[in-house]
Amino acid sequence: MEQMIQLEGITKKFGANLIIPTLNLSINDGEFLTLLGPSGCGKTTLLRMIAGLETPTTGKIILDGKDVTHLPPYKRDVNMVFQNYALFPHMNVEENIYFGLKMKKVPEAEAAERVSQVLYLTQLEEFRERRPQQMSGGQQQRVAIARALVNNPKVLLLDEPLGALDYQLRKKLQLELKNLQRSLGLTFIYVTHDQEEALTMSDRIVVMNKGVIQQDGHPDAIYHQPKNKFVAKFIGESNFFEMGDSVYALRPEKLNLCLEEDCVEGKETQHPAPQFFGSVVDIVFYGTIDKVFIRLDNSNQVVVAYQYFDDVKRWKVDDRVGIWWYERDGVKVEQ
Amino acid sequence: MQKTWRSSVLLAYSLAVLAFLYLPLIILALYSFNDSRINAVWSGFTFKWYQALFQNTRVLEALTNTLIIGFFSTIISTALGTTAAIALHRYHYKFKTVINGLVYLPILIPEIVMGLSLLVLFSQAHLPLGKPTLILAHITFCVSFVVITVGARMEGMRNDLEQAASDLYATPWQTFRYITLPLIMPGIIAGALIAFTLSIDDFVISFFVAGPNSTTLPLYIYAMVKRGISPEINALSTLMMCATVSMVVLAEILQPRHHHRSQEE
Repeated sequence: MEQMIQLEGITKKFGANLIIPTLNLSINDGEFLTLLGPSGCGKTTLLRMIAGLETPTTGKIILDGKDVTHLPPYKRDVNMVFQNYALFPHMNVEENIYFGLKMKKVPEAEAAERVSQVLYLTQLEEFRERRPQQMSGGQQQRVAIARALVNNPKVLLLDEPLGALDYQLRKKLQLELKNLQRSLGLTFIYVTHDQEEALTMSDRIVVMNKGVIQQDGHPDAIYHQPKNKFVAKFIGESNFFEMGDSVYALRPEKLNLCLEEDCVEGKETQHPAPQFFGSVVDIVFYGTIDKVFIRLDNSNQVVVAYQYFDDVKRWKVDDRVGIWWYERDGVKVEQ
Repeated sequence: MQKTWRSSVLLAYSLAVLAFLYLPLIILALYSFNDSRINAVWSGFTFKWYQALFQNTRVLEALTNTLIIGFFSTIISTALGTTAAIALHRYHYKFKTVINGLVYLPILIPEIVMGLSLLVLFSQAHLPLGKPTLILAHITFCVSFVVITVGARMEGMRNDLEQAASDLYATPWQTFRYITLPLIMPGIIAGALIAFTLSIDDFVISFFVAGPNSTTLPLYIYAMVKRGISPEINALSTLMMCATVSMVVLAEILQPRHHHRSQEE
């Protein structure tokens, strides 16, 4: 696949603060790439460097084969959807969307054509004349996307674009955005700290912490084969078991429980023998599942297992249980 | 019952304060329509003092001076103040608070000190006193107010708007022209109106730096009062008051104190 963006040896310092130690990353054409990490991990800074709103301290940014490291934002063929949309309050929807085309001096007829296309695409036709202040958060969000898309950017940069919206709307717009990206075949770089959002939308996720890439891969790999403890903990829930010199990460849904008396050593069982024993300390009802918290024997560690038990068999606090799993489900992680 | 009692006391108190503030002005305005030369007796309604005013060439000359000086000092102080406010907002540099303080200082310095120091400065520089010195003096105290109103507007503007413009291919100049300027315009207009109001009302500083042929209305009123208070002064003062009030109201309308915060959440 063709590469759209290459980041080569990027570092970024703010004063004496090293935000990003050396970082290399390439992004393919047409890819939905998500930069995922806790706040302050450098993901937004990275995005802003691609946009040209920040300059890397060292390193190169190549956009479609051209070195753009020192180009100002207004000379780069990328567009950004800002966290709080940054819509121009003194312009209506149409004028907001026109702005980029006007600055680029796109001929009037073509500009009008492109604006109505993008208005149609984002279902904003009836809001042409509205001011941003008169619109809901979700509608403003669409305007922000339309305003960026209308310029046919090589890359669309999105900085937590759904962060300010409520849960239901966010779910809906996630799908809309993903469909839009797929149908336009556009390169999206999406910044978020919401792991669920990252998992559902991305072709590829880059997990960052303290300016360092922790793992780079397909959402499935990120979830099922986390490379280290940080990734395992940041994405979904994980339990860590120390076995010898190694640490294994196990998703709560992969942990199985048995009553201690049924699976103590020497007892015949239908499943692998439990590696750990402990007592149930808490059970929390989550609708489809029970979250069962177990304190391991000989340690203070509490692990959590998801159980899909029916009403006939449910765990009780103080139950003595054995914890077992299939070998394929344990993921050896770096510390 | 206690509540009504309390609120009526509060109402009476508020009215008393308002009366204290505005009674002198109301009386002044009322007597400008008084048919008698003596301010103490009401002898009928008339417009004749206003008519006399507009036939008085010296008043008209003072009015022209005031407007010319007001016009130029407003234009220049608005331009200077606006650019200063933008620079103060945008750039970070050493001693920023000190420089900010220096901008506001002319508001706090006693006018008489300002006037005297300007007079000393002008005579040191061998500048003949007249309209130019008045304009220069007015600019010095108007600039601060423009910086404050425009600065408040800049504060209220989110800086990602300029970044968004830049991301949408606008050069720094285009960003200023199409985004920054329209958004701070209410602040600029408010600042200009305040500057104009201050300029046409100023007495103390003007008193020091005025020269021949540059008598402004406040200076003229003062000269008239020395020769005894006539209803003509009342009429002139009433007109000035109306002009000032309408401009302050206009400035107030254009400078909304609470911004729409909905977007920022």
